[in-house]
Formats: sequence, structure tokens, C-alpha cells
Amino acid sequence: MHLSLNWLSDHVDLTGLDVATIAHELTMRSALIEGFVDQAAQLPGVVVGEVLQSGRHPDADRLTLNTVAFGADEPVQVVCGAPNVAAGQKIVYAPVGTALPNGLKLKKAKIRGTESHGMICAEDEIGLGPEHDGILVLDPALPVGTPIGAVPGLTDVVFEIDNKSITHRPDLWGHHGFARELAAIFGRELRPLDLDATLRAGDFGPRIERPASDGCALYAGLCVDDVPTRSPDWLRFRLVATGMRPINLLVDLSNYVMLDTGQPTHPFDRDRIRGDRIVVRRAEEGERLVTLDGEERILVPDDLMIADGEGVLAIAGIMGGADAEVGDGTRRVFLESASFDCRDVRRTSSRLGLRTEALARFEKALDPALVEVAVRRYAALLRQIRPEATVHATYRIDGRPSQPDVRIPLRREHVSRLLGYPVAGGEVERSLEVLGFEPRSSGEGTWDVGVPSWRATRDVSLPEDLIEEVGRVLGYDRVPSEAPRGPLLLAQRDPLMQVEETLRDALAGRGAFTEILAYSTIRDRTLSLVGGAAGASLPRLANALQQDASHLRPSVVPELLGKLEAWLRYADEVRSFEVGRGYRLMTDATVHESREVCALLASTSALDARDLVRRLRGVLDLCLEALSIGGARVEVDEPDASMPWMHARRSARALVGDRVVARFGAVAPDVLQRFDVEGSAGLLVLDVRALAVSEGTRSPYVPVSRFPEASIDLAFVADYRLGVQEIEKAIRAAGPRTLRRVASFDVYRGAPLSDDERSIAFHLVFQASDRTLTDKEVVKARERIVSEVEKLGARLR
Amino acid sequence: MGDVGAGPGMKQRLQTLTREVLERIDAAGSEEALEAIERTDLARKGELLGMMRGIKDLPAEERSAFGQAVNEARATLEAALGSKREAFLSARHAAETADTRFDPSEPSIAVGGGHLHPITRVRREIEAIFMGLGFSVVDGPEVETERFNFDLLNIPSHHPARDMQDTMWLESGQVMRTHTSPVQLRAMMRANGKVPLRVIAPGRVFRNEQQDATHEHTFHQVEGLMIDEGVSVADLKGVLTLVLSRLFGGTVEVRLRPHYFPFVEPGFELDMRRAGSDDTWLEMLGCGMVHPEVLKGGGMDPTRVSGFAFGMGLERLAMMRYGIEDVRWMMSGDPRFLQQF
Repeated sequence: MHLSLNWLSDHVDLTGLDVATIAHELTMRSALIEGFVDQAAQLPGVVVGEVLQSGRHPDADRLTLNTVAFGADEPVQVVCGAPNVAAGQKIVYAPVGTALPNGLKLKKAKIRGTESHGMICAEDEIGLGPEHDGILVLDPALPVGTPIGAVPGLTDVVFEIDNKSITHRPDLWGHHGFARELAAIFGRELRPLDLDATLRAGDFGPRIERPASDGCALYAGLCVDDVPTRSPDWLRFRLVATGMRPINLLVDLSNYVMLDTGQPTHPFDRDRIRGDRIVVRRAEEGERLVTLDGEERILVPDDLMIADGEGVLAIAGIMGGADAEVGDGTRRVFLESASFDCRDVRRTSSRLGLRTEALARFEKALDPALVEVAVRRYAALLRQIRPEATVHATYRIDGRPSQPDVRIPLRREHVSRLLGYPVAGGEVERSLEVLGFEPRSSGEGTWDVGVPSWRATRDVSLPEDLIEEVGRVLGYDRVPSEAPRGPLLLAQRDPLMQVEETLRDALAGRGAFTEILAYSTIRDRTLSLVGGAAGASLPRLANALQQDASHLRPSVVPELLGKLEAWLRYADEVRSFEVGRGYRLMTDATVHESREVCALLASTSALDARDLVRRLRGVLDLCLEALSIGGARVEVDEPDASMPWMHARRSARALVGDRVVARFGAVAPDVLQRFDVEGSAGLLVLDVRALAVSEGTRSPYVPVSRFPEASIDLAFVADYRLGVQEIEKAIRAAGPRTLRRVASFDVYRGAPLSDDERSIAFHLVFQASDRTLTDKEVVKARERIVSEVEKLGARLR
Repeated sequence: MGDVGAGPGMKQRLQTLTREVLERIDAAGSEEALEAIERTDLARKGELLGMMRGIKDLPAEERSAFGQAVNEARATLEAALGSKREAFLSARHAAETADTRFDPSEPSIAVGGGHLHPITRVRREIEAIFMGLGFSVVDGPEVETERFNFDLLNIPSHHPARDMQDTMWLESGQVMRTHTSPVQLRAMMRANGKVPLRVIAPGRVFRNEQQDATHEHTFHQVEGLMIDEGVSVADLKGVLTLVLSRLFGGTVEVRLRPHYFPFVEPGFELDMRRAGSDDTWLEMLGCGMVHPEVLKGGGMDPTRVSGFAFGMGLERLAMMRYGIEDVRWMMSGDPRFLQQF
């Protein structure tokens, strides 16, 4: 929203205050001022000039040749194209060398062979109004040479308010409301609005019926007999400065009253109201209306609307219809001012996707007292501007303003306790009073505070709301900074987040992986490339920004794969990971969030998938070690439809006890191919929840023996039906107690072994804690181990 | 020669041998030659030490003197060997020291390592500061119910405040949480009315808005909440001043501006700048005193306790910290971006 300084100054005397101070104080105490524009500052050098002589241009019918005096220098000759220029006028003169807001820089020019110095300006050329039909003619009493910024009431300063900072304040959607804040902030007096006091409620004009009185507590209508005329310059300039388009006085005044009081009104062409009736009702199925913007709107039964004897006139509180628009043919106007339910107008507005200035105000729950204020304000302004218009002294009003009488108990001690510094009773009272609240003492340091109607609709209802008022009027810079205090507490991290942190460190540290973040939504294309079943069980956005990315991702895997091809353009080997969530829609319509840490290992070279899995095992070991988890075992994973990206025969899972803590394996070749990846890739997907409950089961320390170690290496040839894990287990079982460590460290595939076989090398370490082992003991152990392993079908190589 | 009879002959031989070996040491041209001398002439089975074994054949009164003479000869030879070796070593060091063919800027041999996302990095900085003040780090779901994301936060349906955050709705009726504030409620409910409660909740949040250099539809926030008896705006100011000072280094100055958030009353925007400077104020975060309705919804008694809450965006912090010019890099997954951190 925009605020005009000239307009505000009608309501409160701001003399002596510079604009920056006003903007700063409003920002610190009321609402965020995003900036301000001083129109005069954009017109340096532009001054009041006087047309001394005006005559026809010798070589052009539509141009005039004028002699203009503008103060300092001798009068100059100016060619002008406007039809309304005449000798004796005071005009806006832009001398040679000045630059105008529209970017035009004035130079000495020859126009149709005649020299022209500078320009006599139209209102659009100096950025004050929309029109270009003629030059702007000023008050003849103005002295020649007066800088344009010094002409009273001509240029303005326009403040821009952040609308989000006044969402909760129905009273701040008009200039008078902001003037009230300024009066409170600067200790000045708020002038009352000039209202027409002669109007009387009665039965003149269209009859008002309100079958939908639940959505419209109060409806008033003022009748005016007048034709559309051009609004005076000051009014049009204020509308332009605050972002509205001037149309004609009857319409402009309606907008002006809204920007002044906050209350929207709507002028209907009274002769277009059929049956001389206004009916506020709910729409019937299929009723339609072409609104002022030319769009056809189809209404639904819940919509609150304004009808006449025959059909729809307007969508209540949002926009009027084109049929009853006030236009050139209008002779009589019916001005609507009403109190619409904020929920009704909001619902219809969001359904239609139609937001208007009126809606922005109605949805804030306006003060119902404004209904009458707006009518009287419109009447007063119209009478003042156009005495020849007939404003009928009797106006219709139907319904009762549901004036809530809100009173809130307040304690001084509460104010001080919440703000954090001692506030005096007098300060509490004064702060509330300047804003229109009525604090009535109800004992020592306690009040019963009456809330003014403009704050009582929703905004202020609790003692805390009043404390905010006191706090901001006194200024938040008065709040001291209290050093952190309170009992010592042991800060802890959520256990799942802790697992994630540990894994991030392990992967980004020793693992040398790069952490990425990807969206929670997944593109349909990515989903189909990973082989996802069109997202049958995936949650789906109802209002996705991009139609092709409307599902939530089932896992963090697809996007890691999606980025792989690009990564491989920069490096031969890729190690990336994401810590994130996958989402599943459950049968009871709840959404399950998986907690995954997923590492992707890829290479441009074509590795044997079995070797890739060995590398992933290394990453798995690293992660388990970081979490101090011991005793994990791995087994072949069966193909799983929920993970179509995993290789059907090169996937495995890791278990601690019966709990699967990770799944890992090569990426399915067809998936890689669809992602245009040449080379090989493998995935390790760790289940954070499962790891969190398995954490810390490993005791890493074994006392160091002072006696020497004896070690031997054994290589066994075995086919794939016999797992390394089983051989290792057999070695441990067959070994003596002095067998301290068993580790497989190499695999060999290829000649002279058959395709079904491989050779696995083990490193065995023997050591006793109380003596030096003899060669004989080790040899004996070796024989026993070899014979036991061979019983499983392996042979010593 | 061990069987040569004792007497002056042996003493003479000792002197001759000593002289001969000394000459060989002196003449040695390399460290290897020295080692060969040591291996033969000073070996246990060499001639010199063989003389020791001949001592028993000497008359008793000469044995001691001869033994001493052999030991002295051995010590002399070892000393000579040692100093000759020293000479070789220093010659070698001199050559090494004189060698100036060296450039430390030749390509390094990487040890390798990974990269943490900048969001992770700033989040950890913030977590560490708050944990030092006894704030626990808590978590909540990303897919929220309307009740937790809006209703319990005092944002009723048909309230314009719902427009402030364009919401991603799921067809199944839930919302992608528009802020981390629902975690406030979950933390309060878990605390079961017990105070003091001090938590922060970092996490991913979602808004249905178009992206540009400063707007993302998916971004990260850290929510903070402190509830106790008598917590005031002054506590909010104190804690956040300390935290921001630690985060940005030096001492910062903060100011509160009124702002509307439905779940706090009063509500503020907090601006920050270096203490005592004339720098422009930077808008840092939204905060306020927890609204009594929100306290009630979380099972707290607003007549007994009060609290403050705040929420700050991690993307903005990371962008300030690292000078990142476009927020869209964060979710880009681009290695050229990620591998700089």
C-alpha cells in the first residue's frame, strides 16, 4: 500500500518532521516502510513559469509559439503542442538542461524550423498524473520561478508500506488510520474526518433486502444525482500517487474514501438497478456475471453477492459487474457501503483467484462503524467538490452494526514482566490512550481497557495484544538486553539427527564424498527413468508449481542418479551423498517419511559390479565404525519392486541382529543406460532409524599383548554358493583361542579358476596374552582350520 | 697369528696393526669402504680382537697391561672410524644444503576428502552456539497436518495470515510444512508442561512460490524456542544478541521492529549491525513472545510461563557467510558449487 504525505497531513499536522524521520518512526513502531519517493526530488530545476505571449507556430497548425518567463533568465521562446496553452497562464516549465522523471532530457531544439527552449509540461511528463491531453495549468497567484516542489500541495512524498506488516491491522488500510499512528508517535493531534452530519437514515432509494444477513451484517446505500465529471487535479494526483487510476469523480471519490477511511464502497449506476431493489444473498448454482475487468465469473451457491430485482450486480466485497458500471451515460448513482463477513469474501476470492483492493480490506475484518463513516465522507467530499450535484439527504441502511464491546483486564506487572523492564502506570495509560484505547483504572496498577471499534474486530483481544501496543508506543529500544540466564540444561541432539551428523562426517571426511541437497519433489521424467511405478503410492501435491514435478520422492536415490551424468562430465570418479527423506503414502492416507543417508559411488570405467559392491562394503564399514556398530552381517538381497534402481543380482543388505540397517549394490544396468551414464555406479542406502537403535554395540578395544604375534595368509578357492562370511566364520570356529583376528583381504577371479569360482585370501593373526606362541602351535592350528574349511567345499589354493 | 707366543712380539704386532688400520681408515674413499674396514679389522674374529684371546698365554703380570693396550687400540680405531664417517656425512649434507633445485609450489599430492553442503556448515555453527546455551536440537516431520502447521499456531482457516505463506498442499490433505514452527508445538507437547524448555529445530521447509535469485520453494530454517517462568522480550534480545555476535564475530547490535506473526504476541523483525557502527541494518530473523494460544496448544500454562520463539533462514546466512549470489545454487547439486565448501 502507498501513503501520500499530503493526504496524511490533512489528518495530522506533520510540520517540522522530515520525511526520513517519519518513515523511520513508522517502521520502528507501526509498520515496515519499504521506501519513499519524493516527487519534488525527481523534478530539479522545474519551476513555475508564466506564458507571456502565445501565438500560432508559423509552420505548423497544431503548434504554438510561446514566450515564457521563469524567473532567473530572460523570457524564452517555447514551442508547445498542447491545445490549452494561453497567454497569462502559470504553467510548469522545464528549462533546457533539466531531466524529467520519464527520462527525457531537455535540450535546445528546433521544432519545425523554430527554436524552442525547454518545455511547458503536461501532468504525465512530471509524473503527477496520467493525462497528456493538455498542459498543467497552475494557480495564477504563484510567483514565477517557484521551484515546482515548493508549490503547496502539488508534488507529494509517497511512502510504500509492506502489506505483510499490516495483515493484522484492519485500521491501517487507509490514510486516517496511519495518521492516528503518527499522531500517537509524534504526540500530535489527530483531526477528525470531515463527515456530512446532515444525512439521515430513511427510506429513500432502492429497497435493501438481506436474506444473507449472516454474511452481511450491515448494508447502506447513498443516492446521488450527478453526471460523471473529471476529478480535480489534487484528487487525481493523490489517486495516482497511491496507485489508483482516476476515472471520473463519482468513481474516484469511492476509491478516495476507501484509501482515506479503509472502507471500500461501490458506486452503481442507479438506473441500471432493475426493480429498484438491492438483494444481498447467496448465489444460485450457475449464476454468472461479467465483472468490471471484463471477465465472466461463474458463481457457486456459497458465494455472497449483490443482486437487483433480476440478477447479479456484483460479487460482494470483491468486484462489481460491468452492467451497472458508472460510465458516461450515468445520471444517478447508488453508492454501496456495507459490512461483509471476512470469511465469505476470502473464500470466494480464493476460489475465483481474484484479489482486489476492496477484498484486501474486507478480509481483514473491518470496523462495522466505518459503513456509515464512508457514506458520510463521500457525501461531504462530493458536496465540497461539486456543489451542483444532488446528494440525497436520506440514505438507506439495513442491519445493525454488531459493535463488539471488547474490554480487557490489564496489569502493570504483566506489562513489565513481558517486556522485560519496569513500565510506569502513567506510561501504560498514555500509550493506550493515544491510540484510542480507554484504560479505566480497576485498582492499584490494574485497568479495564476498552478497545476502540477499529481494533476490536479481531486484532486486539488479549492482554498480550495491549502489551504490544504499549511496547511499540514506548519504543522497543527501551527493552534492555538481558544476558542469557536459567538453570544449566544438558543440550542433546535428536538421536536420528545425531546419526545423520555422524554419517555426514564419516562420508565427507574419510569417505571423501560430497554432500548434495535435492528437492523433495521428483520430476515425472526422473521417476520413470529410475523405473518407478508411476508413483502409485507416492504422495502428490495438489497445487504443484510445475505440473511435471508433482510427486514427492520415494527416496533420495533418484535425484542422486539424476545428477550423475552431469557429475561424470567433471570427474572420472564420483562420490556424492545426500541426507534426506523419502515419502510414502500409506493406506490410511498418512505420509511416512523414511530417513535415509544415501551414498553414490560411480566411475567412468566399467568395473565388475562385484568389485563395486566390495567398495561399497568399505563405505558401509566406515559408516558402521563411525557409529560404533559391530556384528553386522551382509546377505544377498532379493529384487525389490520398491527399489527398481537396484541391480537384481548384485544387491545386498546389511543386518544388525534381525534389523536391516543398509541396502547396497550396483545400480541396475538399464537404469544407468536410461540416465545416459556410461561406466559403473553403486549405491549404499543407510536406514537412519535402524542405525539409531543399533548404535554403540561395538566395543573396539582389546588389551594389547606384550608377546609377539604370528600371522599366516591362507587363500581358499570356493564357488559363489559359499560366502566369504561363512568361510570366515568357519575359520574362527576352527581356530584356537589364540586366533586373534581374521580378515579377508583379496579376491581373485579368472584363470586358471573356473567362472564359478574365485579365490579369497585371508589374513590370520595368532597371539597369546601370556606367552610366545611356538611355530608348532601355529602349524597345528593352520592344519585344523584348512581341514574344517575344506569340509565346506572350499579348497586351499 | 693367535698362536704367536706372548711377549714383545705381540706388543709390537699390536702397534703395527693399529698403525696399518689407521692408515686404511684415513685412505678410505667412501662410507662403504669404512664399513668394510669395520667388518674385517674390528670384527670379533678379526686379528685385533683375536689378540684378546692370546692374553691367557701371557705371564700373569703382563696380562692386564696388554689387555688395556688392546682396548685402547680398539677405542682409537673406533674413534678414527667415527670421525671419518662424520666427515663423509658432513660432506654429503653440505652437498644437499647447497642444492637449490626446489619448488614447493609443484602440484600437491592430494590426500582426498569430501565436502559438506554450505547449509550443513552454517547449521552446525548455529547448533553449536545454541547447544552451548543449553538448547537441545529437536526434529519434526516435513509433511505436516494442517493442525500443526496452522491451527495450533493461531493461524485459523480463512485468516489472511495463511496467504503470507503460499502453501504446498498434498492431495491427501497434509501440507508440506511452510515453516519449522510446528516443531515448537511438538517440543512443548513432549515437555509435557515442564519448564525450562530450550530447543532449536533446524529443517527443510516449503513454499509454493516461483524461484529467483533470492527465492526458493524449498529452503531451510532454524526455529528456536525458550520457555520458562518470566521469560521476557529482554531475554529474547539478550540471547539473540549473544548468538549473532558469536555467529558473525565481534559484537553486534540488534533492534526490534514490530511485525506480525500470528504465533507470537508481540511479534518482531530483528535487525542487526556491528555494534557502534553506522552500517545499514540487516534484517536477520522474525521473532516474538510465544502467543498464549500457542502455549496452551502445546500444553503450557500461559498464566505461569512465557517464552520467546524465532525463526531464521539458513540459506540467507550461508549466502552472507560465503558470498553466494544466487540461492538456486543450494539445491542445484552442481559439483562446481558444492566442491568449493
